[in-house]
Amino acid sequence: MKKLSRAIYQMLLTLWSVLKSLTITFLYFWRKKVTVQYPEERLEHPPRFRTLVDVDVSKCIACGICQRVCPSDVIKIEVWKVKEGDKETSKPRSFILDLGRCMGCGLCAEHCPTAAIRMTQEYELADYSREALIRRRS
Amino acid sequence: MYGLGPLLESLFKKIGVPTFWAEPLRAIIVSVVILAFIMVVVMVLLWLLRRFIAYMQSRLGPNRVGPEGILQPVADATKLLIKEDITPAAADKVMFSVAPVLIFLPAFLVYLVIPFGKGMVAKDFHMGIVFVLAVGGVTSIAIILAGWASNNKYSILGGMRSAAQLIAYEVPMVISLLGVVMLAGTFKMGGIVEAQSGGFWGILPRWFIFYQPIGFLVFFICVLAELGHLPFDLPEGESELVAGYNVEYSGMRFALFYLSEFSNAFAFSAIIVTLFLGGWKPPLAFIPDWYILSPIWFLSKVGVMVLLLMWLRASIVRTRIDQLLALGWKVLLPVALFNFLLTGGLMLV
Repeated sequence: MKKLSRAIYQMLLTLWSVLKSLTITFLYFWRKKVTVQYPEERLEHPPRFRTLVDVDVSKCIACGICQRVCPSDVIKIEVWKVKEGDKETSKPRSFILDLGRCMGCGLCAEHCPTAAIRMTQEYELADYSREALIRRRS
Repeated sequence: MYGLGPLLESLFKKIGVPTFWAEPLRAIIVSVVILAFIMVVVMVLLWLLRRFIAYMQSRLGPNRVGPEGILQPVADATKLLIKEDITPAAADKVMFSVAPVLIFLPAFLVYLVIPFGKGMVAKDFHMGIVFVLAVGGVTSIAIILAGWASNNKYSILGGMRSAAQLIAYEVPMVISLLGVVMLAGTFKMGGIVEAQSGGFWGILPRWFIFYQPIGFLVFFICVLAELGHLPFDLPEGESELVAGYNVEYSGMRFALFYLSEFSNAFAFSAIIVTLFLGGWKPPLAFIPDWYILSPIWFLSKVGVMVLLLMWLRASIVRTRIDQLLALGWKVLLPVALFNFLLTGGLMLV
């Protein structure tokens, strides 16, 4: 008799737990969905979100620090000596960024003395060839 | 008497089709209609299942192909048709190709005896329920065949589990049905629906679920096992058996397994509705059971049943094989026998 009552108790317990799980899924059915339909809607970035580098050439003094500090060899600068009055300064003739190699570490932006290099929030750079990812700024 | 069969018969008489050709012609037309119906049902169920379960898991589900993703099953079917059909080198080639057909056959045959409305049944056998049970058992044989012929350890395990499962749930299933058969006094599906007419106090319909709550519960659990549905989907347990008996199948053969699974889900929901929920009778006793409305009542009840199955699928975790066998032999069988005795005793009194 004790065994029988235990078995009946267990059966009722099973039914109860099934009902409980059914309620949980029922409540989830009406909740807001977590899916973000990507190309149409996007998540908001955190303010310090950083991805790829970009450069403002007018600020650049072609010191070459970024080129030296970059761990994955993204940056290539051709230097152009310019005479302004009696002072000789250097300007970049062309500033080549191979974004296919950039991993967004931000070392270049950290070391830039004139804050010409900055990290952007652009992250969509899918393309058909690696050459298309090379950006030329001058 | 309405229905497709008698209608065709009278039509043939009018046109003057010779009696020798009338019967096979009728069989062909009826099976084509059933097949078309199965295709439509499976398409709808596939979409419904994916969206419904996605919503219960805080996702959106497929919503890209067509409005609200309604054409997703079409895209899936096209993909499966285009895919390469691989037969493993070590497989038993004949059995490997027979199994998908054999698994679809019972899923198709069950539709013969389902009364979709007042007199809308392809063939109302005198032994309708027995036919359903017999044909439903063939599914497991096809699963064992598929598992064995694939010559893959996971698929063999899946097939063996299916066999163990079949023996465990089929016995309480049959016994739980006996209560309904005793109350109705017939094995005929149409007769069982007729026996559920009338109502209590003119409001509540006189359905067998109110007479047989225990029988309904046992039968429902057994149907879950028969369908290989979630708490008991051991033959295809993804986490332990990869995909169970259909690991080695691809392309159209895999599609047949899928098709039969969904068509079975609909068919067995329809059988639950017929046996316990009053078939095509209206849900309230005072509504007159018009001929035109009867398939609508039936299909809406089946829809609710199918949604209940999907709801369970989204909620419950899989049992272990020993838990299922213990449930079948130690719980369902005694409960079903108790229900059988109780029904008999109450009928005698």
